[in-house]
Parts: sequence; C-alpha cells; structure tokens
Amino acid sequence: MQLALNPAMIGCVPGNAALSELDDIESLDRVHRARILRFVSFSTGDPDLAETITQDCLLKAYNGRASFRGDCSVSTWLTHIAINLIRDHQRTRKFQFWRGVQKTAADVSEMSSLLPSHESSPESQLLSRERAAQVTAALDTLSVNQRSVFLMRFIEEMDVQEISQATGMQINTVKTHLHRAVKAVRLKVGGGAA
Amino acid sequence: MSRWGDNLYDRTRLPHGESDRRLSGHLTDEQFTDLLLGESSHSISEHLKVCAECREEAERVSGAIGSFERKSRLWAECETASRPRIQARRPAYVWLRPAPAWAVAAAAIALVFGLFFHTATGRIDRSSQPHPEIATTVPQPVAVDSTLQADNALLAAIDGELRIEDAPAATAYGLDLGARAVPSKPARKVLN
Repeated sequence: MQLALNPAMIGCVPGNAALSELDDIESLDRVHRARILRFVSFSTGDPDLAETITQDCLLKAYNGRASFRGDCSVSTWLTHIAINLIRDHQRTRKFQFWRGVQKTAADVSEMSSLLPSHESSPESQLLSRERAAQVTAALDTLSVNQRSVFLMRFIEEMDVQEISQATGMQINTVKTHLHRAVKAVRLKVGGGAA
Repeated sequence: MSRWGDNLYDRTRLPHGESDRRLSGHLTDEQFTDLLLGESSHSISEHLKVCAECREEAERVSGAIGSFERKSRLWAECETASRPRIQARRPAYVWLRPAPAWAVAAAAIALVFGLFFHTATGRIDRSSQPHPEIATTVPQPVAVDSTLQADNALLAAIDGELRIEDAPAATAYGLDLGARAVPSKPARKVLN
C-alpha cells in the first residue's frame, strides 16, 4: 500500500543506510524495539501481547528486508508491519479473550506511574502522572484504529501522510480518527479544570 | 447566561457538545485538533490571543500528551532493557554460500577418492613385499653341495635299511622288493 505512493510526493527518502540498517537484526532490535513496543502496547492495551507482536514485527522486517524498497523510512515500514500484526491478532479469538480479561491485567499506565520521573517537584511529578493517566484513560475509550492513529501522530510524531502510508487509510479517514481521539483526550484532560 | 459567558466545561447542561462550543465562541474540536496538529489557522491564533481559557486548555492537553509520551517512553525503554534482545537465528549451514559449497563438495569428493586410492595402492605394495617380521625370522635356505651329498647319502642309507626290514614280510606275500626297489629321489639343489 505504501509502495503505491510516489516517494517524492510523500517525502520519503530512500537510502542505503536504511537497507544496511535492516541487514543487522541486532541493530534493528536496539534502535526500534522500544518504540514499536510502546506503540503496540498502548494500541492493544496488553503488554504481553505487545511483546510478542514486537518480536514478530522485527523478525518479519528482518526476514522480509529484501522487499523493502526504501519508499519510506524504516520506522514507518516497521509501524506498518506492526499495524498489520495487530489487525491479525484482532481477528483471532485469543485477542478477543485477552480483551475480556484486560481489566484485570496489569495496566500499562500503572507500570509507567512507578517509574522515576524527571519532574522538578513531587507536586509536578504527581500532576504529570495524573495527566498521563488521564490520557491513558481517554485512549481506553477509543477503538484500536483511533488509538493507533493518535499514538502515531502525537507519540511517534508521524505526520498525517506518513500515518496514511503506514495504515493504508485515506488522509481524510486519518484526520477523522485524529479528531475523535483528540476530542476524547480533550474531554478527559481539558474537562478537569474551569 | 450570555453567549460569551457560557461555561465551556459546564457539562451538566450541555455535555461536551459541539454546538455548545460554537455558541460559546471557544475553539471547536476540529479547531482544537488542528491546533494540536500544528495546522492552526489565523482565526485560531487570534482567538488564543484573547481567550485565556482556550489557551490554558490547549496548554493543559498538550502538556498531558507530553507527560504521556515521556512516561510511555520510559516504560518501553525499561521493558526493552529487561528482556533479552533478538539474536540472529542463522541456520547451521548458512556459512555455506553457493560457491564455497561447490568448492567444499569438490574437496570432499577429492578427499574420498584420495583416501580410496591411497588405501588400494598401499594394499598392493604391502602384498608385493614380504612381511618384515617373516623376512627377519625365517632364514633363507643356503644350498651347499657337500650338504646335498650328505643328505642324499643319508636317504640312500635309510632306503637300504627299510628294504632289509621289509624283506621277510614281502617275501611271505610273494613280492620281490629287490626288483621294484627305487632309490629315494635325491634332493634337488635349492636355488637362491
């Protein structure tokens, strides 16, 4: 799907660096694993499933590196693979089962709140954690597609065209998902004051 | 309540309704999204200059997303660091590239044939030569004329003795040993 687009039009720069990056799976793992894990974890809400998908994603990229034509960045290509793997898991009964027990599973936001923060004061740390938890709670109300699009735009800092490229959605569809996601976040975070 | 004084966050009256925000004159969800996406128009910028409420809300939401980004990044980095990295799973035969594979196969065939021929020629050589142990323990016979003559004389004497001893029995059966007596075959000369 992203291969059908003109690289010059979408701003993707093919290069030998990307190809050599894909040749070393350990380098691929070191550079991209944390990013993919975060994206999949908050898209699915299941850290264990995210670990499996991340592993599959990196192995799939490494094994299929010959098919990478450099039409986009390695990062975008990996995100595209991860999205396809998430969709595959969505179709399985296992994913449905884990969605059912998701409420009792360890929450990603709870784990993140245990981490040390670089905020200056305890009050700032508490406020930061509360806001992060509010965003997580807002994401829980969204569909997987809306969550993925939100994460790609605001966490992965991909632009709308890159998201369209990675997901195979039309740009207008991407924007619609973004509007709904921002509306949910605004409702959770922005509605707390005033 | 006047149009401008309508509370944007009074969700008991109009819960997060779009028309509520339009009527209030604050940023709509679409405008707010465009603002977060960095695609704000001139009218949005102008509104933020005069509306502290929308400005504060925008800062709060973008700050929350930033906090979420930092927390989630830290979490992912810790998760990644605590788990083993992917190792390249290369099959055992991967070092055998096509060209070296042919070379290795040719070398193996040559080695097998070499061993075969080496073993075969070794057997031929060994069969054509006397065993060294036998060659050293079995002395070669040495032929001497005097010895041969002595041996022949001894054999002739033995033949004579036998004829004398067997004569009475032979005559009892009516045989004449003297007419059939054949002297023992003399020993041949052994050549080296």
